[in-house]
Amino acid sequence: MKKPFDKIMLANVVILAALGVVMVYAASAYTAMDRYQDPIYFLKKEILFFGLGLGGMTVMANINYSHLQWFVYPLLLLSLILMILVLIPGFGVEAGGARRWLRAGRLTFQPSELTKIGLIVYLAHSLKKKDGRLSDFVYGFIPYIVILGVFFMLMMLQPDLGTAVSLAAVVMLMLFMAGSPVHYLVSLLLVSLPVLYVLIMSEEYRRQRITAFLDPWSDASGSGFQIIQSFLAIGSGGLTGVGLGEGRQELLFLPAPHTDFIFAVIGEQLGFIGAVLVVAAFVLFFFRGMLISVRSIDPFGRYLALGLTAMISVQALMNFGVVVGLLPTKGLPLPLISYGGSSLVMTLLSVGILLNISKWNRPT
Amino acid sequence: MKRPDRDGYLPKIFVVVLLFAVGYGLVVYRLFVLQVRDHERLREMARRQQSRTIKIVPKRGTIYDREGRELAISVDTISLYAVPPQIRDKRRAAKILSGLTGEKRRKILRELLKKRQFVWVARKLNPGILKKLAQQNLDGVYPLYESKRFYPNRSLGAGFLGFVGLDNQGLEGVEFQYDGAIKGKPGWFVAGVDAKRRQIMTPEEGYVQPTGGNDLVLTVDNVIQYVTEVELKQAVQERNARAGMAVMLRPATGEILSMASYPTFNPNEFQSYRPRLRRNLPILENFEPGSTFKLVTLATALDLGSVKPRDIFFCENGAYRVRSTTYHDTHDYAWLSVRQILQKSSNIGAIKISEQLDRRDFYRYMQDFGFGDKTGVALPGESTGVLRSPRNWSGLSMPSLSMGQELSVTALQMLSATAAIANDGVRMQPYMVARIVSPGGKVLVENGPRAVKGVISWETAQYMMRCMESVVTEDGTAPLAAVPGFRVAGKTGTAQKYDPRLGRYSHTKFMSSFVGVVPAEKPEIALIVVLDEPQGKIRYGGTVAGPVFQRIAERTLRYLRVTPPQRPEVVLSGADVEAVPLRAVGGRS
Repeated sequence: MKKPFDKIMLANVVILAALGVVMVYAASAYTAMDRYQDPIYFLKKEILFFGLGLGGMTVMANINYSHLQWFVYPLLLLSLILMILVLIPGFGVEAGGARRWLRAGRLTFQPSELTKIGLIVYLAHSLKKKDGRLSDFVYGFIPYIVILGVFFMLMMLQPDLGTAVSLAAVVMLMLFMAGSPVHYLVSLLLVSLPVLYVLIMSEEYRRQRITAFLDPWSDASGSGFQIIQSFLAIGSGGLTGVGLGEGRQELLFLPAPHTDFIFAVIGEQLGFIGAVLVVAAFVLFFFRGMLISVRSIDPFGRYLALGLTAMISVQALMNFGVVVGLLPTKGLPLPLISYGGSSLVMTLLSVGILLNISKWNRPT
Repeated sequence: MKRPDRDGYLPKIFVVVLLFAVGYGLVVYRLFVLQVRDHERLREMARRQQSRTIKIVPKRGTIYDREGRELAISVDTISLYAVPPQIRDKRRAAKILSGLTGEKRRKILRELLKKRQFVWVARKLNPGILKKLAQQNLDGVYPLYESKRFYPNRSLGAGFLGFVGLDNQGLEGVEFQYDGAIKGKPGWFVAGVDAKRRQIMTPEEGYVQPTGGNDLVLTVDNVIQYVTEVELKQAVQERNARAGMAVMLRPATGEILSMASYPTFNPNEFQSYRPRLRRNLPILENFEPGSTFKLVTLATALDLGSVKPRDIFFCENGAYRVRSTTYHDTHDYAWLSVRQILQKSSNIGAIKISEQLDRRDFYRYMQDFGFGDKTGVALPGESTGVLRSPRNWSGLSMPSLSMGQELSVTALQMLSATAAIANDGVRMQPYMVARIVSPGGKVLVENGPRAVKGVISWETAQYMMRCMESVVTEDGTAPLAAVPGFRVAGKTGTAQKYDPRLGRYSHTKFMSSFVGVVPAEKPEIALIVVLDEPQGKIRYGGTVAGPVFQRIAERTLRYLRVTPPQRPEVVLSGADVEAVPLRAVGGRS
C-alpha cells in the first residue's frame, strides 16, 4: 500500500526554499548592515528556520496524515485563541501598523500561519464527514461560512487583508471541489464583494494602494513609490539579470526587499529567465499538489492536499501579482522564499503533510 | 476503500487548474513586459535614482609675480558635510563637531536640524581634521576634499589680486577678471548611492578628471609691491590721511610693477573687512588731480606750438581775475617762464598758457593722454574718471581744467599720462598680466608692450621732462622727491577736495599727490603717490607725497640695480630757456 513519497515535490520544494535562503541574503544584506551593522543578521535566522522547517517537514512526512484528524478541533481552538490573543496589546507585537505577531522570549510567531493549516485540516475533515450533504444550506454551508467569517474578521482586525483574502479563496475553492452547490458560492461572492469594497475603502492606506495600483506613475514618489520601485528592480534585471548580489534596488529603494518584494529582487538579480523559472517551480508545485490530491485514497487526504496546495499556490500567485503590478499592494510573503520564520516553517510542515499524503497515493 | 468521485472531482480540477494557469500566465506576461519590453526604460530610471554625479572641484591656477613668486595659491583642504537623517543624536553631534571645527555649536545644530540630505558642517578645514573625525565615530558626517585659495603674503597685492568666494569663484580683482582662465574645469564621477543618497562602494561608472586652472604670471614684482605698500602705509599713518594709493609702472612698456591702496585687507579672510577697505583705489577712486594736470596743459600747448619754451608769462603778482572769479597762486609771481610755471606750479601761469589753446584741441589732447576713458588695464570695475565734452564747458572751464579742476581722474590715468611723456610722448597700454600658462607649462597668452597712442612729439616730451626735472629741485615744489644720485622728473599736485556739503572747494581737505619718473634721462619707473586728506600743517603734494615717492623710488631702483645713466645728455634747442631771448605772452600790462 505505502509507496515512496513524491520525490519531485520534495526536490522542487527544497530547491525553492534553498533559493529563498540565498535570495534573503542577497536582498537583506544591505538593510541588515544599515539597521543592525550585521549583513547576515537575517540570513542567520533564515538558515535556522530553514533547518527547523526541514526537520518539521521530515516529521510530518512520516506521521500518517490521517492522525491529524485527532487534532482537528484542538487545532482550530488553539488557532482561535492565538488569533484573539494577538490582537491584545501586550501579547501581540505591533510592527508596521499591524498586530500580527506573538512574542515568546526572543521568538515571535505569526498565529495566522497556524490558522491557515488549522482551518484547512478542519475543512478537509469536515468536508469528508459531510460528503454528499453539502447542498444542505444550513448543515453543509452555513457552518463553514460562520467559521471562515470569524477568522476572516480576526485577520482583518490585525489587519491582514492579504492573508484573509487568500484564506477565503482557499475555503471557497475547497467547498467548490468538495461539491458545494455553485450558486451558494456565487451568492456568497456577490454578498461579500460590497463588504470587501467597504473594508478596502474605509482605510485610507488601502484606498491609496488601490489608486497606486491603478496608476502608480501618477504619484511616483508617494503612494506609487513601492510598486514603482518594484518595477524598476524587475525592469533593471532584463533577460538575464544583473547578477546574484549585484542588485541595487535592495539598497533601501525597494520596500521590504527580503519579505514581500523578494520576487522583485529575484527579477533584478536573476532576470526574466530566473523569475520565470521561479514561477515555473510554483506551477510545478501546484501540479504535483493537485496530482497528490487527485490520487489520494480518501476524501480527507484529497481535500487536505487540495487545501494545502491551494493555500501555498494562492499566496504565491497573489505575491507575484502584487510585485508585477497585477494586484494592489498588500502585505503577503512569497511562500518558501520570503524571509519569515513562521511562514517558512509552517509552509514546510504543510509540504511534509503533502508528502505523507503522497505516500498513500493510488498508483496511476 | 471508497473510490474518489472521478466524474465530479476531475472536471472541477481542470477548472481550478485553468484558473491558476491564467493567473501564472499573467504573471509571466507581466514579467516579459517589465523585463524584456520595458527593460531599457526602467533600467535607465533605476540608474538615475541609484547613482549620483559627484563634482570634483578643480584646482585653481596659481598667481605668480614677474619673478615667479607666489601671490595666490590653492591648497587642499577638508570640508565636512552631514546627512541629517542619519544622525540620531543631533545635539551631541553638534557639540562634537563644534569642538572639532571651531564653528559655533548652535549654528551646526541649526544645520543638522534641517530636513535635508546634505548640509555643510564646516568648510575648508586643515586636513588634520580627518584623523580627529575618525576618532569620533560620528554617523552621517562625511569629509570632502576641497581646494582652497590661499594668499601666502596675506595683504600683499590684495587690492588688485581680489579674492574668491567659498566656491572658489573669483569675486574681485585679477581673481575675478581672469576667473575663466584660472578656475579650471570641474571633473565628476558617478557613484552608486542607496535610497538615503549615501555613497556605496561600487565600481565607478564614469570618471572625468578635473582640469586644473591656468596659472597667471603678473607684471607686478612682489618686492616692489611690498616696498610700495609699506611706504604708503607709513605715510598714510604718519599724515593721518584718510587713505592713500600708489602705482608704479615701466614707462617704456606699460608693465605695472606695483599697485597699492591703503587701507587694505587680508584676502584670506576678506569677509571680516568692510567693502570700503577692499577697494583697489588706484583704478576705482576718481579725484580732481589738481596741479599734476598742468603737465597736460603745458604738454598740449607746447606740442601744438601755441607756446614756445622760451615764452614767458606775466603771472599777475598772484591774483588773476577771469570773469567773476579771482585765481590765486601760492606765492606771488610776476614773470615766469614756461618751465618755471611748472616748477613753481603757478595756477595763473597755467591759466595763461591755456588761454593760448583752443578748447577742442585741449580736449583732444586730454583724450589722447587717456583721460575720460578706462586705461584698459584689465581689472574689474575700472573707472573712466570724469571728463566733460567741450560742448558742456562754461567760460571758466578752460582756466579750471588748466590747473586740474573740473575733471576727475584715477591715479592710474594720471600715471599713464605722465609715463607717456617719459616714454618720448608715446602712451603705452598699462597691463598687469604678463602671461597665462597652462598647468602643463604651455604659454597660452603672452602680453607684451603695446603702444596706445603717440600723444606728443619726441621734442615736446624731452622738453617736458626737462621742465619736470626742475620741479624736483630746491627751486621747485618737490625737492623732497629727489632721489640721491638720480635725476627725477615729476609734478606735484595739491587739489582742494570739492566739498558737496559746502558746495565749494574745501580749504581743509586735500588730495596731495606726486607723480614722477626716474631716472629722468632714461626712465625706468614712473610712480604716482596720492594721499587722501592728509592732516597737519603742510599738506602740499611735494611735502606730503614727494618723500613717499622718494623712498619708494630709491628702494626700487636699488632693488632693480638701476644705476644713474652715464650716456651724454641730449641737448635740445631752446632747452636752456634762460639763455635765449624771451618772448612775453599773455601779459596784461
